[in-house]
Amino acid sequence: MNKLLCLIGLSSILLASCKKNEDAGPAPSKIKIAESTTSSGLKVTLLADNNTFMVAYNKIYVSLNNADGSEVSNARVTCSSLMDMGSMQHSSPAEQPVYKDSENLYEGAVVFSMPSGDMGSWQLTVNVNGEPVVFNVTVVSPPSGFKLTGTFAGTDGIDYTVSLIEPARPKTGINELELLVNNRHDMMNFPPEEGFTIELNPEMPSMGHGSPNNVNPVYTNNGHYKGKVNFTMTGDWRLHLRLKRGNTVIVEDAALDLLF
Amino acid sequence: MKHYLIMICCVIVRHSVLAQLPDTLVNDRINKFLLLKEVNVRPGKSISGSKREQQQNSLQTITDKIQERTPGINMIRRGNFAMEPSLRSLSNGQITMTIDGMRIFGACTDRMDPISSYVEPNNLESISVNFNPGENSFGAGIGGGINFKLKEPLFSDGRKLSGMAGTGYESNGNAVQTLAGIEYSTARFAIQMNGIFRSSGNYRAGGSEEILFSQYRKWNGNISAKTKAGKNGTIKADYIQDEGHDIGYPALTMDVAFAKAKIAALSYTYKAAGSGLRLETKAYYNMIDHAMDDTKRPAEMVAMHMDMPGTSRTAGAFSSLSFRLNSRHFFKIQLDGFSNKLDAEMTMYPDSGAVMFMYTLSDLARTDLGINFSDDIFLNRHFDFKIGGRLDYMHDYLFTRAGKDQLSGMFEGDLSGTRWLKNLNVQADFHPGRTWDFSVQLAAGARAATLQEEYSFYIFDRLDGYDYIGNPGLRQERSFNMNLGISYHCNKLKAEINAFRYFIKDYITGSVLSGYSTMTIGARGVKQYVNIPSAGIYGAEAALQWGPLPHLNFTSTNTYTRGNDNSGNALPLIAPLKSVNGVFYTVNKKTALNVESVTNAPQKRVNTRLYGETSTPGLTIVNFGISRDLLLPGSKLLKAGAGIENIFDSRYFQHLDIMKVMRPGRNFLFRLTWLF
Repeated sequence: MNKLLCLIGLSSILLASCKKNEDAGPAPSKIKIAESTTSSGLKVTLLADNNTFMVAYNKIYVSLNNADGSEVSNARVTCSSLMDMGSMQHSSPAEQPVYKDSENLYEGAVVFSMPSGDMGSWQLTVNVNGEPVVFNVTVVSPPSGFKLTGTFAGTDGIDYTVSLIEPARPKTGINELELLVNNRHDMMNFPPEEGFTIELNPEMPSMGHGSPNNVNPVYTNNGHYKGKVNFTMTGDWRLHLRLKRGNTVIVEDAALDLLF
Repeated sequence: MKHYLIMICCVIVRHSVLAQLPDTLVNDRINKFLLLKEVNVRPGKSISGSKREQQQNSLQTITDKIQERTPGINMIRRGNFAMEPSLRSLSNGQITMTIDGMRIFGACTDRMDPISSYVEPNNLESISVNFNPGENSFGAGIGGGINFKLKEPLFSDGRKLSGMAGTGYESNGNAVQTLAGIEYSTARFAIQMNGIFRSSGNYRAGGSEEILFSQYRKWNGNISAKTKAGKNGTIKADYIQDEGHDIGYPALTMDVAFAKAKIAALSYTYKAAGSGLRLETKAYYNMIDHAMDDTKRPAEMVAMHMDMPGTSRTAGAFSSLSFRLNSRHFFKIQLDGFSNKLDAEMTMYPDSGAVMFMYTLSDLARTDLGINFSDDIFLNRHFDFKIGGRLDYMHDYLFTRAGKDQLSGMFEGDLSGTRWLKNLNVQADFHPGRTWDFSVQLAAGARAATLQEEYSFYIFDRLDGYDYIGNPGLRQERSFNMNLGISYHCNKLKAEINAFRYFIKDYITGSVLSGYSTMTIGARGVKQYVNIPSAGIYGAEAALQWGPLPHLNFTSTNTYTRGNDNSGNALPLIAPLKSVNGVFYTVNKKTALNVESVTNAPQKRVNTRLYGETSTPGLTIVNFGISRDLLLPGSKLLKAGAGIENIFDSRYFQHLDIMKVMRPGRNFLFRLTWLF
C-alpha cells in the first residue's frame, strides 16, 4: 500500500510508467514556488518543475521582472543553498542560472542533499546583480524506492556527491544517463568533479540480476557525465557506480536507486 | 487401441478416394501411401466397414494421441495436455501447422500451446501430414507441416437430421470426456454443431506415483454452416471456440490458468462439374488468449509469483485455384497472406520491492504474402512427376512504442526486417505395376526465424535451463531434403519404406552469451539464438500391414531419426527408434479386438553440454482394446469400447518428454458413443 501511495505521489515527478504509453507526454509546465522583491524593486519569481523540492538534483528557474512587468534578461543571477541545522550550517552543490531566451527564464539547478524537517531547514538565496533574495524552501525526501543523490566518502579522504539528472522519466529499454558529480571542498563549496572514470552496473535488488548493453558515463563538462542505462523491466533498479581516478578506485559503490 | 486406426483409416481413405473421386488427383496422390499422409478422424456410420468402427472412438481421443501414433510424428511433452508435434524431429518454426489452411500461432512463450491443442477430433475431417518444403501449400518451412482439416457439413437429398453423443471414462486421472454433435442438412443448406468437454485430475505414473500438476479441464465447441451459392458454389462459415482451464504442466515451473482460442473462417468454394476446376477463397481470423499461473504451486516451488499472459492474433486469407489442364497436367495455384501479432508479458511480484513488468514478446508482428503452385504431371502409366514451389514475402516489425523501447536496450537500430523465402519440391514416382511404387523427392526449403527466435526477451527454456534472447539478425534456416520411398501393396500385404536425409544450412539454435545475467531465478545462464553453419537429419520410416485372414491384421510402424550439428554433436529433441506393432482382429464385423505394443529404443545420442539433454532409456508398453457395435432399433447405433493402456503399469518416459516426467501408468478406459 505504501508503495502504491509513493507511486501516486511520484507521478507528478516521474510520469508513472504506464505500459504501452505511446509517448512520454508534454514537458511539465513550471510551477511557481515563491516570489520576492529585491531592494532595488525587481520582482524575483522562483519556479521549479514540481511544487516542492526533493532530495535530488532540482532544476530551478528564476524569472525577473521590472515593476512594470517587463522581463529582465541581462541581470547577473547566482544562487546558493544553505542548510541551517542550528549547531552547524552547510550548503550543497548548485549550478548557476543562465538566461534562456526561449523560456524568458534563468535556468539553474540545486542538489538538495537532505530533507528539511526537525534537523533543520533549507534556504535558497538568489542573488540578482549583487542583491540577495532569500527564499525559505521545503525539501522533501523522495518516495521510497528512490535515492537520487548521495554523498560518498572517497578513499582519498574527500566526500563526493553523485546526483542523477537523467533519466528523469525512466522507461523500459535504453535510457540516457546523466550524472552530476561534485566534491566537497568545504561545507560551503562543492565544485564539480572532472577527472573520474565511472563504471555503471545496474541491478534489480529484488531479483539480483543486472542488464546488458549499458554505456559507462563519461565526462562531458561542469561535473556532468553521460552514458546509457538499460532497464530490462519496470520495478526497483539500483545503479551501482564505481568512481575511479585512473586505475584507483575512489568510491567503490556510489549506489543510486530508482523505481518506475 | 484407437490410435491404431491411423493406419487403417489411411487405407480407407485411399479406397474411397479411388472409388469415388477419380478426378481429384491431388487427393488421390495424398492417400496413395500407407505411411504418413492423412489420418481420418471422421466417424463412420456404416457398420459394414468393419475397420472404420474404431474411428468413432478416436473422437474421444485427444488430438495429441492421434498425432502421436502417426509415423514420423513424435510429441514433445510438457504435461498431460497440449503436446507439441515434431515431424521427423523438426518442430516449431521448422514446420507449418495450419487449421484448414488457416495460419494460427500459439500464444505461450514456453510453447505450452501448440495449435493442435486448440482442435478436437470432433472438429476434424482429417489430419494431413507432409514432410517436405514446397509440398505444403500453406507456409514456408523446411520440414513440411500438419494441416488439421475441419469437418464439413454435407448437403443431403432431402431433409436430414443426425447426431451423436458419447461419453468416456479413464481410470487414470479420473478423466471424463463427454461429447455431442448434431447435423442438419437439406439439398441447399447444411449445418453441424459439436461440443466436447474433457477433464482430468492428476494421473498416476507406473507404480501408482501421483504426478502432481498434471490435471486439465477443457471444452471445445464448433459450428459450421454451409449453403449453396449458385449452381456450383458454396459458402461456408466455421467457428471454433476452445477453452482450457487449470492445465497443469508438471515439467514446467508454471501451469496454465487458461488457454482460449477463438477461430473463425468464411469461405467460398466453386467447383465446376466434370472439369476438375475448383476455386476456394477463405478469409479468417483467430485469437488466442493464454495465461500462465503459478498460484496453485506450493510456495516453496515458487521463487517469485508472476503473471505471464500472452495473446496471439492472426488475420489472413487465401485463394486457391486448381484445375486439370489436360489429361497430363493438374495445376494448383494459391495466393495467401496473413498478419500475426504476438504479445507476451511478465509481471513479477517480489516479496519486498516494487512490482516489475516487462514484455517477453514485445508486441511483435509478422505479415506474410505467399504464392504457391504445383503441377502434377502424369507422364504415362508408369511415371508421374510433381513439381511444387512456394514464394513468400515476409515483414516483421514491432507494433508499439513500448515494445520498441524495451528492445532498444537489447538490440540496436531498426528492428523490423523483410525477407523472401523460397521453397521448391520435385517428386518423381515410378510404378512398374500395380504392386510396386518407387518415389524420389528432392526439395529445397527455407524458413524464417520465428518471432520468438528473433525477439525473445529472456524466455526461459526448461530443456537446457537457459534464458533465451532473440536475434533479429538471424539468417533463414535453409535445407535441402531428399526422400526415397518404396511401397509394395498387394491384397494381403502392404509394406512401405521411406528414407530421408535433410541437409540444413544456418540451423538455428541457442548459443551461450557470456557476461549476461539471468533473469529467471535459477537459470543456468543466458543464450541467444544464432545460426550455426549446418546440421543434418536423416532417418527412415517403415510400415507394414499384413492381413493373413479377412478379419486378422498385423501392423507395424517404425520411425527413426538421427540428427547432427556441424561439429557432429547430437541435436536436441531427436526421438530414438520408435516401433508400434499391433494385432487387430474383428469378429462378426461387429466386435474388434486389438493388442499393440509401443516400443521406444533408448536414446543415448545426446549432448548435455551444448543442448542440455540427458540420455533416455528405452521401454515397451502394451495396450489392449476391444470395441463392439450394437445396432439399436431405428437404425441407431451404439458403439461401446473399452481398453487398457500400459497394461503392465510400466514406469517410463520418452526422450522428448521435457524434464523426464513419468508418463501415465496403467489406465482403464471405457467409451460409449450413440449415433442417431
